[in-house]
Amino acid sequence: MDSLLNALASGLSLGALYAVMALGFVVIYRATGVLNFAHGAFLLVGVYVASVVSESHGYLVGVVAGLLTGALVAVVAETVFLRNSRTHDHVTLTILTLGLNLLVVTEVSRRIGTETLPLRDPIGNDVVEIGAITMPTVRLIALVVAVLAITVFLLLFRFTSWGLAMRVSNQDGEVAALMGVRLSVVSWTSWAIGGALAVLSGLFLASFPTPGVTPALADTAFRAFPAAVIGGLGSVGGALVGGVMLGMVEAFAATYEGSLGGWAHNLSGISAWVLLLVVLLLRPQGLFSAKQVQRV
Amino acid sequence: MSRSRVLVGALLVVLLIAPYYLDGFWLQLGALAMAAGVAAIGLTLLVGVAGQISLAHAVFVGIGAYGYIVLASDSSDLAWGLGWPPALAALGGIGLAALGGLVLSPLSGRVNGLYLAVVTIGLVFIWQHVLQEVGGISGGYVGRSVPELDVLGVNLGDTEPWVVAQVPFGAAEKLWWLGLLVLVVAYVTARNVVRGRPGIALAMVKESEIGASALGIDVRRGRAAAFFLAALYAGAAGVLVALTTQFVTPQGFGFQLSTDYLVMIIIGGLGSVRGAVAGAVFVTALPRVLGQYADRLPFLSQVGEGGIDANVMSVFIYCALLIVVIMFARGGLDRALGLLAGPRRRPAPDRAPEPVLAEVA
Repeated sequence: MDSLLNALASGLSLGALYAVMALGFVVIYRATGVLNFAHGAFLLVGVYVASVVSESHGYLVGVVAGLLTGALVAVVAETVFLRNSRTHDHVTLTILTLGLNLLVVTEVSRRIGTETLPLRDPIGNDVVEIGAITMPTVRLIALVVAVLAITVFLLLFRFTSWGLAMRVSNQDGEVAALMGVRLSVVSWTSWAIGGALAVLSGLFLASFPTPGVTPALADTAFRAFPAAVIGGLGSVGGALVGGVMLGMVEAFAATYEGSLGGWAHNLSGISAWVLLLVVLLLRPQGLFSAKQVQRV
Repeated sequence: MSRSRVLVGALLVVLLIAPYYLDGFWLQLGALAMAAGVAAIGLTLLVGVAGQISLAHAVFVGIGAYGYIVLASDSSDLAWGLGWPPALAALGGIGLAALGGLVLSPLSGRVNGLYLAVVTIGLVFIWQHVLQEVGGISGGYVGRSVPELDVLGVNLGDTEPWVVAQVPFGAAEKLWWLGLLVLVVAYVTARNVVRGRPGIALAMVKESEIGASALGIDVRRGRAAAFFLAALYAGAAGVLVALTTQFVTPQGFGFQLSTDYLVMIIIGGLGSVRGAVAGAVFVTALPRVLGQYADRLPFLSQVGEGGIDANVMSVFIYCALLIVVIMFARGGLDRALGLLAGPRRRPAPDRAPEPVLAEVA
């Protein structure tokens, strides 16, 4: 029973982080129609800068610097590389982000080397106990921050003119442009938000119980893919549900893989992908996206 | 005879006699490049012609490699082996990869474009997981050595060197020829597929799914077939890679390898068969050549010193090239090769104008 509750709690917290990451991913997808393979690069650069800056200026300054860096790198990726490409084929542009990712991750990994950089968060490895649940304080804070970030985003998305512009340009870019929406602004702001959200989740994913900043963090960002696709690529609500589902499944797999026998060893590492395969085989468009009907 | 045919003929002759002059390093590099070329041709059929991104190419290359090893090795305490004759095992390895492609091809038919990309990332991670957990396949921490190939009693390894025109032929020389043979077969087949009805149908599907199905093309089946064909090519490449490296570890068949294949076909010019081969040669050769001459290149540091070593440098170079090709120079190496071969041939009246079909983006 205790392990069930604990799995639930850690799954919820992990899921909230994945949801934040997937949200950024979907925002970018909606703005540009590109699967952003550079999500891991944004995350890693931001967290790396946060770690370096926090050494001299303290944790909070580091966090702000990290978030800004993530946003900045994302904006550069969009405005310099994607926008100026001669091709507008989504498949090719997706491969372009894959190249950007490899470039950035290689360089940052080289700088990190074989070390594990500390993030220096003031909470460290404290643990809170609520009833039968024991979880790292950082993960509890992560849950709160993630929920806050998602709420703020949804409010902006629903009630501001920027949110309206984003929804409209996703529906029909040409009409949006005719109505006075500046598509280029929508596009780069979306990338900035995507980059910052990636770093936000990365900051918590690199804190306790994870030892610190390592190049492997970039691989964690791959979780944003199944999270976004399970929900139905392009659906904001779907990304949130997909992220939470993913976190839950992973936490449960991690809790119970020991008692399932040899075949389940390290199952939690691939649970996300197995879930993705199952969902897509049953519903090829994901859970929340309507089947597209096209007129010719 | 056109200029391009003369060039191709000359190139083939050079490649045939090259083993007489090259040393071990270059022979191995060449064999690996040819294996990569076979895999890249398969991928360009799937991505460039059919318009489906797959990041699972390394999985099928891995299935080919490990399939051959498991089938051909003798069983031991640490790892499984069936002890088949190597030639049969090589075909078996290719067959297993093709079978894997066939089993997974409904995915390609069902989920389109970008969804498939995500599913195939999943396949890479699941495949890595299987290799790491099932020691019987991967040999656990020990890794697995690759048995020599033997075709109808003719040994293609180091145990029975041939002497051809007074030059001793070891495994490296023989595998160079084998790689060349496989590459030529793969190349010609792919060219025929691209130029023939299936290629035109796939290009049509890529352009417009609805338009293609309105013309009577079975979209799902076409995509599934492209996926299967790509897996088959990957399997053949996997067997060649295993034979050439003589020792394999799971890390060699991960996400990085899949990315490399995608980089190859983009640099080469998406959808172009000869471009895929050129890209494969470039991406395979770059880190190895830089590594070989690292001590003589002042801007490179040794691996492990934290500076820019040969591997990091080659990633920088080929990523930069990838970005430049996508951003400014559509057509990539294929276009460069086209310029080398002289002005573009006018298509004969009874033939489909293939360059146009392959390049419409």
